[in-house]
Amino acid sequence: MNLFLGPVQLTIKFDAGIVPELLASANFTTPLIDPTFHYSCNFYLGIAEVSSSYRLLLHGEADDPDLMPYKWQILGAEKHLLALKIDFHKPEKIQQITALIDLKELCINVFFKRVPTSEELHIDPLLHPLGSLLLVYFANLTGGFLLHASGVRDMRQGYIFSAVSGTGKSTMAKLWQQRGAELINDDRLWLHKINGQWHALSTPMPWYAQRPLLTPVSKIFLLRQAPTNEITPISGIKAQMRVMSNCIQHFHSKEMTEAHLNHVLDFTQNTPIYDCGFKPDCNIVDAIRALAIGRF
Amino acid sequence: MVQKPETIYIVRDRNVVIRKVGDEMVIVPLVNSVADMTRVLTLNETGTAIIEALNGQNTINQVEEQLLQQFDVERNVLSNDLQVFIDQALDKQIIEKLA
Repeated sequence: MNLFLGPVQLTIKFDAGIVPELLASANFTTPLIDPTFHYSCNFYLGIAEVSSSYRLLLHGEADDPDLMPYKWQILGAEKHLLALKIDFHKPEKIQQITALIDLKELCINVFFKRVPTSEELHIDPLLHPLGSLLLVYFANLTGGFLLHASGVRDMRQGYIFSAVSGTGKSTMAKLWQQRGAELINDDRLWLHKINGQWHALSTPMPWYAQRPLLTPVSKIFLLRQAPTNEITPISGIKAQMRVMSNCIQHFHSKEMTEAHLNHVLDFTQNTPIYDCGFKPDCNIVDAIRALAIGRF
Repeated sequence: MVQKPETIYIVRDRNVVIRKVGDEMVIVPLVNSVADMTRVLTLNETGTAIIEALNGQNTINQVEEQLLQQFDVERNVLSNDLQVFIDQALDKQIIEKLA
């Protein structure tokens, strides 16, 4: 089967015993934009053999250990050989996932170590957190980045609202939906440049079937809760770094960090940034629409 | 720490990713090649000029002279600011002493 994530095409073959059951990826089986990178993926049952030449580069764990307890590691051998290793603490079906990535050959072999059973393994190939970890790499390698942000398309304008968790990304998205705007995504966006214009793309979300959508980005708003609506244009390196602080960014090498910084700086130099204090009612939608036609 | 006028410093290229944007600069520290996004630094025009002047060739004295020509500032104020900047940059492992 084929999946299309932004400019990346994945051609996936499944071992006997693995049955694709699409949830997160259900709507990503046709391309939204022309793919420019093509990865061959093989999904196997079993335990990956990670050679001793791989060393630990980076690690982390689930934000909410009660909801989804797992730890992840990124290991590297040569510059182009990576291993993503995910260990689930309370496994229902899978104990461990290991993805061996060859960035030169554009090949990913994924191994699932199961809890003992004779049943087939029904999985979405972008199951959490494998899908989310791979997306960070795909975005970086194709000139973009992932941002904690909601995004809407409204009357030929694309707005993105970035903030840390709990500061109003999805509240803002709902207000725009109530006023007729199209929601791209309410939590995470893939920023990608197409023909010189930065676009915000939706990505597969772990728990529901997101549709692939995109919008050119006209403005970015950095959200904070406030008693009144306050929209202030901001610029300069501090404003640009406020945007970067909301990126999903775990990079193990200097090259990836350099590329990430280049992508974020290009985006933030070419997209007007606003500090946006807001109270959650539709007046903020009107205020931002007024900006677009110069009445604010 | 008081800097000797003939001391030469250089940016620790392996430990940082640096980009200049206009007159400003961003520095991302690396720990074992991994980006530490929690310690990203931004520099204004003056800080940017200092980092650019610490090129592994200029002595502190030469850096000071260069900056005096570039900015409208009293020598003793600049000297003090430069001292503080270098102490902090050493502490954050952004620069190192070359000679």
